[in-house]
Amino acid sequence: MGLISVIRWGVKRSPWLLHFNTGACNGCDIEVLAAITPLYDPERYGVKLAPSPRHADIIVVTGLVTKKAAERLKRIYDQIPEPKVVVAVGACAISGGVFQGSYSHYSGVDRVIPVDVYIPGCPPRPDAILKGIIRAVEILEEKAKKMEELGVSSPSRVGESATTQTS
Amino acid sequence: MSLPKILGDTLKNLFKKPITLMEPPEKIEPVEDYRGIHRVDYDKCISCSLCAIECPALAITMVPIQVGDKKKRYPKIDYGKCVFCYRCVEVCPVDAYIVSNKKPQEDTKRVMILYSPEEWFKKKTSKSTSS
Amino acid sequence: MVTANSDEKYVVEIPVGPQHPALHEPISLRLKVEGEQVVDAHVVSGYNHRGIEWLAERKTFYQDIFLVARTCGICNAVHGAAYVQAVEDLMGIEVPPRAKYLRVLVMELERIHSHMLVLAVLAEVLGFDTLFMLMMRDRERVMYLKELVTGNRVHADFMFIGGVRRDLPSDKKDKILKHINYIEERMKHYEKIWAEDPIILKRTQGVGVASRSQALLHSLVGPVVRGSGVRSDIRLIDPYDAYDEIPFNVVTRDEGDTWARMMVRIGEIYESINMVKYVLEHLPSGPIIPWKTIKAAPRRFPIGEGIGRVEAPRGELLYHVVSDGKPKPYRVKIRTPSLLNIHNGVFMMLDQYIADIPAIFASFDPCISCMERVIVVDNKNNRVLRIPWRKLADREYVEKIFR
Repeated sequence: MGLISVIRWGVKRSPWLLHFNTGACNGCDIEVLAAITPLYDPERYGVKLAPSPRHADIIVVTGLVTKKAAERLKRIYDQIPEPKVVVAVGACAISGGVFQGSYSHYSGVDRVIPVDVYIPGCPPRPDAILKGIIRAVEILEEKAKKMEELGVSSPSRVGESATTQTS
Repeated sequence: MSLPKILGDTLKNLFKKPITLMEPPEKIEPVEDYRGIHRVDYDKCISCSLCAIECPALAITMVPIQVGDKKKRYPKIDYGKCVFCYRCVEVCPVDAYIVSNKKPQEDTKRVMILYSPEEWFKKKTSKSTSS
Repeated sequence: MVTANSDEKYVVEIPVGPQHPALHEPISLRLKVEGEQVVDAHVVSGYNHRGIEWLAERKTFYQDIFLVARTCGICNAVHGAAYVQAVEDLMGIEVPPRAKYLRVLVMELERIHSHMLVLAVLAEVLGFDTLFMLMMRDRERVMYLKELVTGNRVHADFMFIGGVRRDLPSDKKDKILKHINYIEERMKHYEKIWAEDPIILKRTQGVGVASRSQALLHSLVGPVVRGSGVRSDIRLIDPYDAYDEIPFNVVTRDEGDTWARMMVRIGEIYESINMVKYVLEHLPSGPIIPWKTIKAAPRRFPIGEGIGRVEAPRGELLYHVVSDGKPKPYRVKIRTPSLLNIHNGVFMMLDQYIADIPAIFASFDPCISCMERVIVVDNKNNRVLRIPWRKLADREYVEKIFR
């Protein structure tokens, strides 16, 4: 039993979430905040908000990526240890929404970092966000299994990404 | 120093039933007239393109389809760009949009097309040739 | 003890950066501290600039209703109402009475949910998690009411030029009354906690004080200035929609600290609940738009300009729309309240301890997505250009700079 099997058992049962707003209108952010309240209760799945990028497994990105925030997003993405999953919430994060064609942003998160799950809506309801996070946890488990098969003995360190490619 | 006033609330909630919605997230229903997934009834559509012109998020594209001996354009909605404002439903002169209160589903692809006019017309011609 | 004017110059700069577990929006707050006390504070914004005024010139008047509503998600109904008011001022048309009352209903529901959100977020920042969870549980009922009236929990998309888009059937009124009465009961309970709990009183009284003359000198708006004793509210001074027929009181306090600003917001929640009950009782009958159907709305707009002015949950909101006879506007200018409160309000943070800074910042009710305007930095010649807004209306000048 290597270290990776323990990690694979752990991430399925308690994935920690990091939330970053790259220039949104705050509609999706108050729905992400509403998703951690008692009515929708994500703590029964083990999900809680992490204080730092080094503690997180899943990163939830809202907002179309403005040029000033894109650099910070790339830096935060590199600091999260493997295995990791990216979730894009809202119409602005998928394709720019109503703001397409403007001079100050890249419309969409997947022009900067690779994305695994897209959740449409303006804004999506908190139960739809929870369902997307549950799907992300399944993808996270598959990634951990692939890391075990490839024989990667320990999670990657500063700035290295083992199994993802950047666009 | 007096006790915090919130102790009464906390003790009461300790012995009550939890308020969490216990059903799985996909079964939670919004209200009846929630602005959910909408689709076009291609029998009524007259190809005027008003919905594609008025959409604020540029989510509707008109694709050309060969119907019999005429070539007309029909709308195709990309739900990744749609903001569910229902301006297209409001502005259609023949009321060709069917509304529902279903929530949009999550996916692993960026482009989300659920109903396309090519499939609809292909199914219609294959049904008429087989019957 | 190290004071702010001592001779030892060990000044450290602390960035409270764009990604932070306490902030849900990207903004950078640069603090210079000596020991534990703040000597200087400076706000760096610009992470949220999306080019809304540039996009508004390239879309039609009707598409702009949905674009400007997405400037801010928390106060989206008032942005729509101010834009629509400016266009109605330009065209010179009259809104039917039933539409005026329905607009007031949606705007007051939004004020209730926005104030409950900032009260819950301040409780979380102070470390009082129980109060945060309880207030968010009761706020879900207000979101259910918004979904019942407009069709979506957050983005109402309810306003239209000349009226509103949806009508209110009479079988929904009883549900609204039932939930509003429950919320009024719970708010009495929360007011007792905010007014008497020793933890909250010790951490918010006397923190971040702004006297009456300082608040007027720095042109603050909204509940921030009403907490310092100034009786200023656009619904009273310049009434719009149905506010000249609905009775209400303006809530003010004299202390000027964080606690006074929160008590002003609690008082405003009670006033909004009374206004919602009055609207449901006295709703007039009639049409909701001044034309026969919504598809018959006009496509040509006259040459001229219009101004729209409303009281958002955070202060005074102003829109200026200029048209030159085409189907797209010539210029749309937005002036939001958070732009004044945040950049000018950092004087309240001087000589305070670092541990009190999150509480002071959250008591301004910052809405960062509303506050982005542009300053052009010329990297080749190393100078900063401040473009006056008359020049920004000149399309060729702007495209020469940004391309």
